[in-house]
Amino acid sequence: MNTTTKTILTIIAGLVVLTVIGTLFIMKFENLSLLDALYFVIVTISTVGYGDIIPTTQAGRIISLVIIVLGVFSVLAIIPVISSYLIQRGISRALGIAGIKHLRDHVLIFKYNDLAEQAIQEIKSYGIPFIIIEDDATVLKKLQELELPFVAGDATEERILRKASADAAMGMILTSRKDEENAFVAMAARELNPSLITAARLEKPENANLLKRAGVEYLIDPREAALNILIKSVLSPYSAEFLDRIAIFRGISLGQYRVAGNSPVAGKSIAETGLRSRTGASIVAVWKKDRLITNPPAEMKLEVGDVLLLLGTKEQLKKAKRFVERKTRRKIKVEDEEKEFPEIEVQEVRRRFSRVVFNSALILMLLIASLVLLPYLFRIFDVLPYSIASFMGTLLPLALWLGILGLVLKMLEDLKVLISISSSILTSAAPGIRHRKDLNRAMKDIAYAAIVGILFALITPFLSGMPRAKLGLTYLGFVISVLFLYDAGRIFYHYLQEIAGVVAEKIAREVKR
Amino acid sequence: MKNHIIICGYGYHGRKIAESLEKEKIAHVIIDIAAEEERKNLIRGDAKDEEVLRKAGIEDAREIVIAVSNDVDAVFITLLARTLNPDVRIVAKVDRHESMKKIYLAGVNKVVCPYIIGGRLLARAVARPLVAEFFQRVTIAKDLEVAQVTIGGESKFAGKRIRDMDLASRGLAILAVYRAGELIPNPQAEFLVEEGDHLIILGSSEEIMKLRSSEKIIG
Repeated sequence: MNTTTKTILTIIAGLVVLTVIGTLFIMKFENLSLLDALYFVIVTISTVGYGDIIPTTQAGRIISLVIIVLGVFSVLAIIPVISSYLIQRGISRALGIAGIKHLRDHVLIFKYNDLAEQAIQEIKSYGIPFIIIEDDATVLKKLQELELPFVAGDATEERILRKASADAAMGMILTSRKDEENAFVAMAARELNPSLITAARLEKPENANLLKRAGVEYLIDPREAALNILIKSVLSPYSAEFLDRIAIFRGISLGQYRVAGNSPVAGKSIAETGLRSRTGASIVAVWKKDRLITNPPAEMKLEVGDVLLLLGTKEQLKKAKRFVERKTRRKIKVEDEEKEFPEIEVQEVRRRFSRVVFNSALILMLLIASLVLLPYLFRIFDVLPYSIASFMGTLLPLALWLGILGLVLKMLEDLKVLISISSSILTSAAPGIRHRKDLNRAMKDIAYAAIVGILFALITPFLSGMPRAKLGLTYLGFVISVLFLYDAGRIFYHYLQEIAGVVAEKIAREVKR
Repeated sequence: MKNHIIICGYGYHGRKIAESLEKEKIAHVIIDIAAEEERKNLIRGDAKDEEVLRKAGIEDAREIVIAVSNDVDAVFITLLARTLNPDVRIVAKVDRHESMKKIYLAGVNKVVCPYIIGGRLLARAVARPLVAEFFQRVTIAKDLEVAQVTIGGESKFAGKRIRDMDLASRGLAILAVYRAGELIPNPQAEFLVEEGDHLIILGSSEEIMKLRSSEKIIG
């Protein structure tokens, strides 16, 4: 169980205990029935406070105070926890992290440390999902804080490996400082998934054979890798700088692209493809059936299955990818796209949401203050000279109402951003990429309609003294909501029509066959 | 001693760097606080001590390589070296990537962090195995080389276009050019090479050696 769930459960348990004990005491001291007492306690805790039942005895009042202080604070404390938990879960699901069971073609990372941190950075930049396996309690706590996906436990156990979906993973990165630990985990993982690509940190060069025998394909000795660049930067600083840039993909990078069957470059010589003049990226090497040909001559023919190693800036590589894989786009997943992990969105959502909760609490407080406290304040002002009193009397409510207005506007803006982010996450799961933008709009429309409805429902009670204004406002809200809903409905209608068309076409094709 | 290289720290990295400098016959001085062996160019002392750095000839050195085991020390030595000689080129190794920013502020010219390179290569080995293998061959196996050649005034290449250099037939390619400190990646065939350019060339070590001797290239 993670800490969020624990916090929620603790607070809920506390509230239940408070309710039970509070109800019993109120029942006894206020001489109420069980239902009435329970009703009073819940109305009080929920901060609704109808005021139809009021404690009359001294003891009852004291108990009410305790209930109010404890209960209201717990409720206020639990709301942000639950909402952030729900949002986080929803987003992680959408990103394919929390649904560990459904992880596919991901990378397992054994142990979390400085090295793993850097590896994850790069894995993220490719848009490949990953999961960390770690058993150290202090590190696990850190992972939780960083909100990185992990499985806690001993990576040599099959049960733990299965939990991390090792059988469906594409690769594994072993970063333990202990070579023998890496070797052991690699063997256990490969037993479960023989096609796993494995890469391990090498701490002692003499253990290289051990790790190779355990089936690890790539061994990286971080000290040696750094040494090579260090030596180069003394002897030939420019080539060191260049290599270092490629190593951390700064300004210039290498990309690998497989020539698929229907690629426009298949069957052509390098010169004929015009790759260089069209994209600016250059072919540094070609892999032909496990044979590496560096600086291939311009006459060399590119065949299906060849892998091109291209050098260029990010934009050049993007262009080259589009060019090499032009006709094959539908077949290829997101293989070489340098997709940024929408981690920023998670933070953005959390920030905005907490601000909305905080602002709404603030608005509520200001409203209460302006309605309840102002009359008392005015009475105090009467003591002051008339000119000051009237000045303060206008300034204070004006400032309050302006403050409330500002907060409401800020909240609306936050809500707008939240809606657009969450609708894009929701629709990213929907089939039919062509309509994603439209669907996005439909979701937004629905949310806006809901907000308009709620807003008008909140405003109209204040206008009970002006029936005409109230009626007009109600109509206005109704019309705006309907317009939004109409737009959403139209999009959904087209979307469904499209799907029906696709299905019909498929059936027709089947029937023909 | 003048125009020499100072190595701070005689551990894994310092030792290997000293070895390759020895091989290239480049004058160097080593500073280490606890080295056990006797070498005539080894100064036993703390590089954080101004006197020790002066003794190693920091004022006249062209370069200082800092490969100590403690990042805080590395930053301190960088500051000290920069104060004593504003023109010296400082190359350093740090272990934690958090130290990168600090050491840059201290005035380092080039810094390398084993975990950053190692971590990136590990990820690449799994996600982009061919890119990783290429990189591995260039930096570790060394049957392939990414070399830097500097075009001197007498070089046949000065004032030539890349297409007229006839590099492709030898299996060589120019990956980038550094001109006045600026990186020009992937220069086009029409690119005019000038005196003072540093070319980054990919090819077999053999061909690159031949190129160096035949074309009167410096570096």
